[in-house]
Amino acid sequence: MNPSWRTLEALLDKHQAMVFSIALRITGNRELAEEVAQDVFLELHRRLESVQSEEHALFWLRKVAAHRTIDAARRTARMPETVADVADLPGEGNQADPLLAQRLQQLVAELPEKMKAVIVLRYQEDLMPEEISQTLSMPVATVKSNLQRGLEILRRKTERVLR
Amino acid sequence: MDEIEKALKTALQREPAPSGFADQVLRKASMRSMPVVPPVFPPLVPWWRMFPVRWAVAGVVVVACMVGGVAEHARQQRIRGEQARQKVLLALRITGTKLRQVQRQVVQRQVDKSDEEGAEPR
Amino acid sequence: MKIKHAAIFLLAIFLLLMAFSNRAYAQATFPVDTTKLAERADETTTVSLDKNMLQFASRFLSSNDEDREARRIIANLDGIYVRTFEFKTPNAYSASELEAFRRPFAGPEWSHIVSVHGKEPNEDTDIYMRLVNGEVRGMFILAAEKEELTFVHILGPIKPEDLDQLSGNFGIPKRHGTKQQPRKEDEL
Repeated sequence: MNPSWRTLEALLDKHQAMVFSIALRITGNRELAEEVAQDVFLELHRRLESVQSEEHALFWLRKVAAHRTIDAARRTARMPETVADVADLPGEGNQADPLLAQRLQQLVAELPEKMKAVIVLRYQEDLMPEEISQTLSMPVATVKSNLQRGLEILRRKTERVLR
Repeated sequence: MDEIEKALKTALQREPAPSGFADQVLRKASMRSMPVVPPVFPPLVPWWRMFPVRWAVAGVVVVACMVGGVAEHARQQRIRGEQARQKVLLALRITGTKLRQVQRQVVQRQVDKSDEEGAEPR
Repeated sequence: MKIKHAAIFLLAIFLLLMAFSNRAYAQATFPVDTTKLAERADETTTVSLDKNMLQFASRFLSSNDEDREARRIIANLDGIYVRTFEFKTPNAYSASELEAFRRPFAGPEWSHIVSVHGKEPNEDTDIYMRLVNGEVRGMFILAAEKEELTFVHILGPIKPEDLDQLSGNFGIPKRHGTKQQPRKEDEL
């Protein structure tokens, strides 16, 4: 008998926001992000019997979402023209710097795909570099280097807003 | 965690999936699982069993062929038109994709150049 | 007899002119020979639309945003020709072949307006514009990636706003490009 978590419905309920957000931050396009996210869950549905645990499902979803989104972003190579293309401003905890959040979203969207993926997995998903390394099949040193370079770029470009 | 990292955590909070997302995925998943049922055709009635009406049928068939010929031509024209439309859209999409690729490459160059300038010792 | 010889001579000239004009037309529509690439490619996409086909297709473009933009862009064009070659193994073509594809555009008619070379070999994009009396009358894009080579040839006047439209919002397809094949990373 299948455990209650191993249904597509349960996994969608729990993880659709995560998968969609990863796709949205990396592609910068809501429509494309929705499409990629759907593909990821449909692929999971095909392989549902092989999922060993909830943690396994989470890891797999992150990994496949990141890889497929990077591929999709490279194919379309679209830079969002307006910030409205990326997320709406988060509702809480951001009253002080709405402009900074908006600017950051835009700047992150302009980063190269792999760097973007590293930043998103670190700051959206709270993954440590070792976990990001496993998710993206990237050496830990490369993850750290991408994080460092990405943050340097973002710091430099938001200097004026932060002061 | 410094200021920029805190700001990133705020800026990159998860977005909810669009409304109806889960329903759409579940619907597509269930469509893929449905068995394909082959169509069932009723048994053919041999024409010689229709003796009393065969001339009427022949007349109808001739008229139908004539009308059908015109309709078929229009249908073929629409099909060809739709194919041409798809080709135009495909060609323009491929062109758009390659132009965006160039934009992305140029941006990457600028990022790399900024990195090099930032890394230079002062 | 003399008339017969003259007739044969005129026929020969006519056939020769036809052959040259066909070749000239073929060159104008697609200035590089991609036959060998097609033989090696695992997948080829070919789109050839001359002026007549573009005008025919225009009648069937709908009123949605993408179709409207497409109708506007192709309204004055003389042709669009696209060739895409996909290879299963990377670097299936050489740098010297790429150079050969660039050679027809070294002439005075063409301006090499964009040349981007990636860090990896065979990751280049070149864009050429054809100028006639100071007006843009054509564009050629050569986009090289490790496993894909794309040529786009557009005949006719291209405006900067058309390029903006193409590279901006145009054509984010509903089904984005080719179907995703299962990858090794997808395994559970």
